[in-house]
Amino acid sequence: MRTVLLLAVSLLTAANAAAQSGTTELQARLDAPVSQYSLSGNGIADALAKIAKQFELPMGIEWVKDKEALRSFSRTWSNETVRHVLRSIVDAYPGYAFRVDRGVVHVFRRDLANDSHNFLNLKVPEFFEVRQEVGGFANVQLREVVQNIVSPRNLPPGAGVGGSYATGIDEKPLTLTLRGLTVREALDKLVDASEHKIWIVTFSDAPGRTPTGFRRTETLWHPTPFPDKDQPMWDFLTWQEYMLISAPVAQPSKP
Amino acid sequence: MPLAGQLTMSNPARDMSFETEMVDNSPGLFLLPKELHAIWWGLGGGRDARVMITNTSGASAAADVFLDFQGQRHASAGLTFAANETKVLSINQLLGDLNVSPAAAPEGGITIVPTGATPTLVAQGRIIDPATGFSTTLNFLDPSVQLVSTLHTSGLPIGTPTADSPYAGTGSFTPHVIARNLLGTAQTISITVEYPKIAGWDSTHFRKLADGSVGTAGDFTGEMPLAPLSLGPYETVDFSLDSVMSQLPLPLPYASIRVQYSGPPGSAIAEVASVEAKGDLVVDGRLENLGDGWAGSGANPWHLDAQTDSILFLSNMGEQECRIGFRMDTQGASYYLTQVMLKPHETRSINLRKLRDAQKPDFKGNLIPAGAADGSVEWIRLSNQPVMGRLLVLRHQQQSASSYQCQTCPCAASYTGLDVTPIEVAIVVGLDYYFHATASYGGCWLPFYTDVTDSATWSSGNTSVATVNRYGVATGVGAGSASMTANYCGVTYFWSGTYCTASGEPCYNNSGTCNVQVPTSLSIVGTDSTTAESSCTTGGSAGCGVTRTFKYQVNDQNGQPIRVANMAFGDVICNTATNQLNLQSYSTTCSGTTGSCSGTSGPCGQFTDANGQFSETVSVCAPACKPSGTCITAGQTIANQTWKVAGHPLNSDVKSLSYQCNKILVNGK
Repeated sequence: MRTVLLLAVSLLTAANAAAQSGTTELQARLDAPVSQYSLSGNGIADALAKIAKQFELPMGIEWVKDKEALRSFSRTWSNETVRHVLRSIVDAYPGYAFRVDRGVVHVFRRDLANDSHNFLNLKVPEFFEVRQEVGGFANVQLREVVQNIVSPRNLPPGAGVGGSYATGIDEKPLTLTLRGLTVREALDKLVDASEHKIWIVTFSDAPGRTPTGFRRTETLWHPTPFPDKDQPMWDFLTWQEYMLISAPVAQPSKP
Repeated sequence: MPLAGQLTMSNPARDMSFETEMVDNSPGLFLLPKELHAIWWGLGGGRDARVMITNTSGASAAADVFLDFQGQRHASAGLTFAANETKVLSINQLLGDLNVSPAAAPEGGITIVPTGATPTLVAQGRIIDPATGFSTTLNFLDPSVQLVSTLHTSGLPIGTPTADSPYAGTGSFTPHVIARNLLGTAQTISITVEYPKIAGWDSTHFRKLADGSVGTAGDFTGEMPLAPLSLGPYETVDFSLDSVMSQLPLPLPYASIRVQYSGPPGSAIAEVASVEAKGDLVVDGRLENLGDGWAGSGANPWHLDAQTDSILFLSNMGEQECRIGFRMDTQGASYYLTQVMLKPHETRSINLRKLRDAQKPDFKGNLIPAGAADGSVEWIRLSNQPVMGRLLVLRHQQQSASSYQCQTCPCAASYTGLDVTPIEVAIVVGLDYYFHATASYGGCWLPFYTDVTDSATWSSGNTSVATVNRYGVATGVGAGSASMTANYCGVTYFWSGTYCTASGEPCYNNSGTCNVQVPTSLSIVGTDSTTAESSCTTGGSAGCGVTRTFKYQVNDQNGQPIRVANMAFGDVICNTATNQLNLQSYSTTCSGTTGSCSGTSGPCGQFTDANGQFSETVSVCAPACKPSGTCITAGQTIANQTWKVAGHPLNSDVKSLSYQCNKILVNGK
């Protein structure tokens, strides 16, 4: 007897995910079979974010928006695993690699992993803490702290700060210890703990550094480098938000 | 077509099935053929062809029988039938009566000519090899319906099918084209193999290329013409495609085959069958004539179970695109596909299991019940293009396949009206909304529908409220209501008894109403909590403060809620003269933390929920709040916050934020 498999996408997820660590759960998702899956992406970040969304993979992406990384990607897989799909994408872009750390798939360009010009290698200041705050607000606060290092505010003594963070999703409050971690590790930890499941750092391909010597960044919603006073920026998304970023209207317009 | 029927008998022990369709023999319709012609092939080695002939009349009947083989026509013994009698003939026996062994005439043809004035005979045959399980249908074809000299079949397995093919895992196949020359003079036949070139051959929607363009026929369907074959007088040839398969881009999900003959219409008939390498599975594909309008419609029962799939293959045999009306009926519900349009020479495969399991509502919001195992599928061409289709029923466990081609109407369905959906909708200024125009068709027993959104002409009743583009996409411009009108012209058809011709080109229009809402204000709704911060650090200085979280509702120009998801928003916070807490910057949802105003109004990846709401967390951390180790109220800092929602700045709704050490007020509350 032979059976025809006609499923578009079939995923098996760990049944007892709640009892497993984030890393174990992620490993199970990566090892899940994919009977058939087709993907078209406008470059490595788009392709990766799409599979992060499709297979619900917590993911951190640090990439340089150059011609090579923007090369379109299109492929169909049959009877493979999610891990194989991920590897296929990463392998298609020379210089990139991935690893699974702290319950997050981390994709990065090898030469930036330990680059001192990469703000992700900065240490989170000792005073920074996340106490009963939602993940999105913690991300805004982390961004504020990192910006104060990369683009020093030089606030006068006794200066205070105010803030506003808004979101359309329901988030639960978190208490996390991030001090001593690199910014990369802190973002991984936020992704692991919060409803936001993708962080994307888009380094500009334009030459030059910030006055403090860091690589400049862009975001998906702001496709040119930010002014140095607002460096660095990054995207911090839920899985559902990814496609909305590229089509930020109720329904996408036709050409 | 109040009732269509088909009969299937299967023998699981031998992996065999036999199927036949009911013939409409209503008095006065005269659909029965005046002559019956069939082909046998591959005889010898224990294989026989059996022919079953039934007299459908209540009176007796008679017929002459001829056998064509070895390039000659041979008269066989005539037949007489009692009222409603069925006779079974063995081709091997008939050959034996002529002192010819089956091995000496492995291919040939049988012609049965009723002698009465009114045709009353129907026939079908079967070639069976009990040793291998080889089993194929022997159709009795009616050359008189062949108005052109081209035949076509749809969706056959070829080689080892792709993993996503309907035939995946069923073996490796070689198609055979068996052609019979009904003339006493030679002619040639030309065979063309058509095959899907790109993914999307199983789509239930309009197809485009990866770059979004509509493409040409050659982008979707590949064609491989074979060298013309000579067909001698009364000759039958079994042409195996084995020798040419290496020229095809295998593996393929399936292929379709076109057969053209040089003689006049009706001077040749043909069968096509794809034979699995072990010979235990034969997938038949009946050939339809491009001039036979009846081929352009179908109605068949379908069945799904753990081992059975039902696949509808639809082929456009012509040179123009052709819309298809499609519906499935089961458990009292109807389900429609409205975006099936076949490119020239395209064959589409529609897997009814996938369609059921997708549980995707049709344009009326109907679903195919998830547990439905039986029902009927009906389809028809919506323009006067030559189209054919067949329902393939694959029984995987039995390794058997049945092909059904019950035809219902000789003409394309006629255009009868136009609907626009939604009838009324609220949209947000600056945002888009898709209106849809759906044309309805009738004239073939059942109604059918097709999506003409992109083909209709659209207009707005008030462009200062909303515009609409050629694709039915309305864009809110200003507050108010406007009608979005679609106009579409279609064709009605008339069957002359031989030909299907256009009888009219009616145009219909219809409208939907677009109520445009402008984001104008925000109101705080529900979920409002304040958390005191006993300590916080601002770049090294210790302080204290407070965090307040609440939910906003986006309201329109009339103060009514805009319950629309995915409206992007962002905010800007600006200093005022009152700064008793010595606040120097504000972190905001979007970027920017310096200067007299912080932030940008986005959008920056944040969107309203399904109710047009979003949560805001405002916070303050100030050393001024903690002069002696205890958080106290030490004054306030007033800042103005301006929101931008869905691209629309709420300039008349500037929020006054009062940051204090133990609370944060919005507009004084």
